[in-house]
Amino acid sequence: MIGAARTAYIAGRAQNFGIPSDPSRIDLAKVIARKDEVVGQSLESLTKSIQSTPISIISTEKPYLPI
Amino acid sequence: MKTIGVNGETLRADKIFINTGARPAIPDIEGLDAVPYLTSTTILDLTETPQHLCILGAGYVAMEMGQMYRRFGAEVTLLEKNTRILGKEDEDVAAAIHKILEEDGITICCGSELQKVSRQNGNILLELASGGQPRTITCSHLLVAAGRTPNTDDLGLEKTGLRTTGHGIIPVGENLETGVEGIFALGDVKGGPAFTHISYNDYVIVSKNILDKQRLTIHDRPVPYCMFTDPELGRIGLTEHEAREKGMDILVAKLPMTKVARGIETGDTRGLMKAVVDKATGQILGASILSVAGGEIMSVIQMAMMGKVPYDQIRDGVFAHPTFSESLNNLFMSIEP
Repeated sequence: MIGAARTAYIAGRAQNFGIPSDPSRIDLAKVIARKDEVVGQSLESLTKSIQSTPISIISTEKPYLPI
Repeated sequence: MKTIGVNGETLRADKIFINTGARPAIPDIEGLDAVPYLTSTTILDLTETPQHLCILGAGYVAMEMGQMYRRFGAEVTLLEKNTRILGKEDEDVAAAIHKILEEDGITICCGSELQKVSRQNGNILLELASGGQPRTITCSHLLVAAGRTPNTDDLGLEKTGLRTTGHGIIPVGENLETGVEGIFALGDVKGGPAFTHISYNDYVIVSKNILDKQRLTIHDRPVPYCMFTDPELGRIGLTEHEAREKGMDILVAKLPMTKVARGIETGDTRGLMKAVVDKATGQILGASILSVAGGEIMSVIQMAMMGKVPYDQIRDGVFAHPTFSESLNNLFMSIEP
């Protein structure tokens, strides 16, 4: 998303470089979709990496209670 | 042997590693829990740009989110109770960032303490004490970016003999082992710098110590980080303020980006470079690089620090022209011994 914000900034200054541009409308849904895709790729890569080891993953939203 | 219960299942192990991370801290402010405030996590779920985003706090998250949503078209107001933003950074560096954000159109209210929050006609009404005077601001969205809290409160640590600090931090030794033998704490739960790369390095330390029988520690570990505003702030080692607080005899190198050829040529001269050097040895103690690619330039300096390369070798070294790193010549030329 920071990459998208930087692109919006550059687009806003494009005229200074002789490049016509109009970044007046941001498609935030598309920005979020791109972010989700990037994060998804990263998570998939990490998950595959862990699954290639002898580590077992137990998912829980409850606390781990020492017994 | 230690035992924990997860999902009704009992697990036994010689060693336990706690790496449960941290969550956004929510300050105790009247009415805050009755409004739909955002955190650094939930703000990413917004599908429309806020009309007016107020941000409580002026640390790294507030800077990054504030500038990002400003560039997406939101009116953005930062509220900071201290007299300036980024209290951990040198004053001149924080002032440069303040100026850049204001040029982006962000309103920064320092010395403003949020006292009460309420709903008003579909918006959020903020009641502040600003410079000792009452003030109100109405916004469409409120982001709480006032630090983070370790996720240790519901782990049942009291049954292990482990004691956390008042802020929920698990104290550790230099090898990341807690006060209870065989229980280690990694990442944000142990306090200190809360960065992904530090958590990963914690893993490297404990895994190499246990599996490869090495003796790695966190003592004197370099802590680089980057605040991803635009331009970004790359940081490593001591600030000038920290070095002076320690009573060190230092030299300070400083170069505005308006003097950097690459910045001029690419049309972005915002920011500055700054480095702190030990006067007696010439070793670089730290750097703050507020620049396009500031994190990458900082990493060049970090490599010099790791290799014990003194500042004058960088001052007189050959770097490709015209790169940002070439300006490290000029940065260190600014030192007058």
